[in-house]
Amino acid sequence: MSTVLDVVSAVLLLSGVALAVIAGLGLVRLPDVFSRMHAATKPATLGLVLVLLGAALRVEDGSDAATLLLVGAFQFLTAPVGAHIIGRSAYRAGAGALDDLVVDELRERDPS
Amino acid sequence: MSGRAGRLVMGGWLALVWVLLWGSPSAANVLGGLAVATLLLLVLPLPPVPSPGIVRPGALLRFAGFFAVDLVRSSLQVAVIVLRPRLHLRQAVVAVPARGASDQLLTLLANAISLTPGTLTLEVDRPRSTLYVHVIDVGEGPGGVERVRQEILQVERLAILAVGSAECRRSLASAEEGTR
Repeated sequence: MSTVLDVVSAVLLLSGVALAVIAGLGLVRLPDVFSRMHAATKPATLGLVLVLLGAALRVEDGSDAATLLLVGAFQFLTAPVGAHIIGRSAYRAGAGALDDLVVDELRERDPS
Repeated sequence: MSGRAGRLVMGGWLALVWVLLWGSPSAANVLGGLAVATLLLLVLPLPPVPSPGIVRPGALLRFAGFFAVDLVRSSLQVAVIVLRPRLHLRQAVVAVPARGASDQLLTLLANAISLTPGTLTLEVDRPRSTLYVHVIDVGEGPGGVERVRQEILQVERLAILAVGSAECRRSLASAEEGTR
């Protein structure tokens, strides 16, 4: 039983770490602030959730699992908000390759 | 929910978070949590939330399930983009109408969009109830923008069914009537 748990937990931890690495790679490789925010939210969030799940399977104490749950909940609340605010500021400041956008319906709303 | 009841709920939640962070529900932790919560609410009072809204457990569960699948899909999509040897992205900013959404619903949606495949909320136009969403890759050819818009409207539909007010659901139903 505990071997099965160990294996499941290890798989979760390793996939979480892999996603975190991909998120980091994305921050370096992607061309501008908007696409980088995609990397900073999605794989980073799922990666953390997988790591937390993997850890939750291995902790002995139920209250430690509750703390892990809390960490996950805050990631879900804060990651999208942070990305939203950074993206919005970048757009308003004209950072990023705004001219490369295929469609920009926000500029169509208030053309400058 | 009146302002006072709202503050009580908020205070209870803050105290609970405090106890969870300390990891054990001892008397000292509970009292400390209540003290910190009271202090926070006195020093940094939040404006009252207009209405508690309605939560439909079944629909909320469906939303959560859809959201979980979407989170996995979006992470894999970003992974594929990042690991491709040559980067070629066709990015776009797309306007999505939020059909008669309340502030809570808009918040839920804006957050959900940022974690669903290829999309990131950039701007919320509250008076016009419109979300502006950044799309990392609309793909080749026409129709990509429309496809993304439809996907977001689907997320929105599930969110409205889960936590939208009765009025909100009616406007959703009539909007869907109109598109048929």
